[in-house]
Amino acid sequence: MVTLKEVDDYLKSLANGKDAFGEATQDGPDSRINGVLVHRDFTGVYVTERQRQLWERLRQKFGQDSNGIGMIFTYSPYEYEEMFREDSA
Amino acid sequence: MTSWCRLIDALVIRQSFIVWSVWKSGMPITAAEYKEASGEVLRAAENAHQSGDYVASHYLCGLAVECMLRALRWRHNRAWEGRHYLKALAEEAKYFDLISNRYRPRFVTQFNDLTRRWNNEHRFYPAEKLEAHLIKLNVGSKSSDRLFVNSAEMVEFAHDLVGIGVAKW
Repeated sequence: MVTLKEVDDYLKSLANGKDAFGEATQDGPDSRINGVLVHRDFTGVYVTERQRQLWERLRQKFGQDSNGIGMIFTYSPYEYEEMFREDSA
Repeated sequence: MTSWCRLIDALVIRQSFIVWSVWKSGMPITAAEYKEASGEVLRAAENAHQSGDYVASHYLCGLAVECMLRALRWRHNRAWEGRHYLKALAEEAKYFDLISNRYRPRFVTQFNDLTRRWNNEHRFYPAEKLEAHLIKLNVGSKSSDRLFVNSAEMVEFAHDLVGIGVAKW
């Protein structure tokens, strides 16, 4: 069974380059591992294609254990920044 | 039976089991469980899309957003809501308050696009009937790839609409 740390480390290793970010989270001990990966290579790429590329790597890395991984949200740095940008006062 | 039928059957059985469990135990589904389900269902939608099961992914995208809205709504109102009207759930969940004014128009557009296309009854729709529904809404230009285009866009909408709920949890 894949662990939170293994997935977190792997997402961080994929998050190379400027403004990249990777993090895994788990709501409870029996929950699936979720996460987020922010990478400039996702800019202008459809979500379905981002997910296809990411899951190819996750399956390569973790094999059958990747079934323990739930949703990894994929954003470009611009999308991620915009999502958390607060309105100016 | 096609694989998407099996997928939907499995989800319907799972949902029925949850409803039965709630009835039996009197325990409501919690916000955390709805949130967890939203990620699982979205993942299932993407799997269905990658497998070419575009009708299944269409339905599951709406279901994933509904799970997230129910998770957020639970914080304001724990009463059981049996209807599947996404706009009402979003209102009760104060969903758009999560999003900055600057970013809101994009999300409102995505949300409106998804709710315009999706209905809970679509779980019963065969491909031909869903395609007829999409033609009425002017989704896609060629019949050869209408279901594919719709599915890809629905995954896009659901990814962002569920994602904002997870990010701001």
